Amino acid sequence: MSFEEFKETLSKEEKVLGLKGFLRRAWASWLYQMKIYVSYRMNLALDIIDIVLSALIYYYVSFLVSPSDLAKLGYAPDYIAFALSGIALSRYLWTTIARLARKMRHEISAGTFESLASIDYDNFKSWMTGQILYGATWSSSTFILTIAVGYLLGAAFTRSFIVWLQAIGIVILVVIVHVAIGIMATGMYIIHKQLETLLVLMTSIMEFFGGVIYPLALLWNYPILYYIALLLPFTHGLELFRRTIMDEKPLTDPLMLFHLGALLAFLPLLYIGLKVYDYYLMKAKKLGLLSSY
Amino acid sequence: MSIDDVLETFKEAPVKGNVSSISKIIAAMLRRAKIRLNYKTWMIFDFANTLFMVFTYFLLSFIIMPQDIAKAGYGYSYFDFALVGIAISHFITAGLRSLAMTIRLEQFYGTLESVLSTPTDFVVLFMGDLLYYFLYSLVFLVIIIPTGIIMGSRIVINAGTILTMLVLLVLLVIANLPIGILSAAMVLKFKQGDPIGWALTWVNQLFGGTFFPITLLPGYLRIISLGLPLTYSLDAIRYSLIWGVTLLNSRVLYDSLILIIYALIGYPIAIKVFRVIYNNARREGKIGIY
Repeated sequence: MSFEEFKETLSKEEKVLGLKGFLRRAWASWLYQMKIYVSYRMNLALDIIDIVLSALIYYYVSFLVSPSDLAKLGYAPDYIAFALSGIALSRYLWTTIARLARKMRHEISAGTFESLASIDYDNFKSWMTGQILYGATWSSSTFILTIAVGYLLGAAFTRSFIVWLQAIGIVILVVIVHVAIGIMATGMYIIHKQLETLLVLMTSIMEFFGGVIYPLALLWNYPILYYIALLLPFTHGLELFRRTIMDEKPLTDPLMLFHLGALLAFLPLLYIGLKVYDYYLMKAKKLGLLSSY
Repeated sequence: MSIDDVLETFKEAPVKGNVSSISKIIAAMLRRAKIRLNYKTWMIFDFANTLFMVFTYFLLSFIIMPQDIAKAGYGYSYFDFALVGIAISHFITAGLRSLAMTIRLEQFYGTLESVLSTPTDFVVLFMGDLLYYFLYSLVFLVIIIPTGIIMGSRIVINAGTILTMLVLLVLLVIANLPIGILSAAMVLKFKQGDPIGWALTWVNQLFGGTFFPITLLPGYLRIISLGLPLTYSLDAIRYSLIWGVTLLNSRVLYDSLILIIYALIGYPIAIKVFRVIYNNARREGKIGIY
């Protein structure tokens, strides 16, 4: 084949354009990441052990917790359900938020991020969509496994399909609000590099103020801490989720409506998150910082 | 210089410097500290995370029934119980994972082969790293214990209990180190992160009694607890700090003796396994591969 013929083949290469092409590339991005993950069998096994052992720790702590005190604070007297619902949701969010920033760090340190970001913008977006979907797949599996372990350990989660549909709706809403934070942080990471550590701190703050393993009502004795807790979307999301799967409370309940309203107020964050991401990506391209780490 | 002259220089015994092993250990410790101190943000967040953990367990203690804690011999405060567990958790990491982390880092950055080729024994370099992790964990302890006391913990701090705690912390690291050495050997062999160390951290948290007394575990699971050095370290440190007793107390002394036995049995096995894997990796030229 002559050089001219070779050049001709390049120009004839058929590209799938439009939405179909975008989805196909996003699917490919999801698939290659899944294949990488599954190939590390040891890590896969350890992730499962991690979920089971952490659930067991709270199972045994639950023997120490006074059910009547839990009931007095307005929750069903079942600490294992209380703790595992908190852990399941916080892990779901943590893995979703941190996923993109971690992937970005990996690509930057491996020196492949510049190539990825230099391809046309639609391709880059489809790659990123695939990565977000991979993060959601992984987080959902962790979430489902934690809840399943909870059932096995005797946690009194609801068994009603309709109530679980409400819970899934709440989880999706909570994830949308928090993914916005993840996208924002990922954009900032491209320039500031150390933001993954900030995400770790954010998770600790979220877990502490959200009342993952203790009832939020205990913060009433510390009004400043209680009001800070109410400023975080996670607090409202967790209260909605927990009261759905533990107490089967409908969304029409005044307390649920309050938390739902507060959570919806954070939705504009998604738009801001995407804007912040675009801003940092363009800035990094202009400054030539895509490959520095 | 002719080729023969060059070959002759290789036959000469290596020139030994005047630097003592102690100085090398301190230098290795300072090297690790300087690297870690570069990541100030990470360090601050690490401290902040631990403090959040203390606050979380402080709040949780309000809904805990203290009967089971008392039955296990640790008084009536769950906060005291959890505080000690949190305060010493970093020492467990130091004993179990520091060597594996060091090897993995050097492997990843492609410097392991060079480091191990120097005349300085890797044991000396490792001791430096271990010393760094020990001191780093000690800083955590010095911050967490007073924070707990300010928040209402009634653990007993006096010259006797501090001295007892220091001895027990050294024993904790020494008793856990053989497992850490085995974990490092696995990193050298399988080139994976640190799966064993990581899994053991979880096993220790569940069966070592970090957040609940092991008396809550059913008999068949308690056997696992009794096989872990952490169980004895935590029991001795908790008992000493909660009741204000020292090494002379029979329970604390018994736990300390068990820890010494662990170390005496564990070291020869761990070092033997590590040497075999290390020598194989050298022979096959696989030290630098990751």
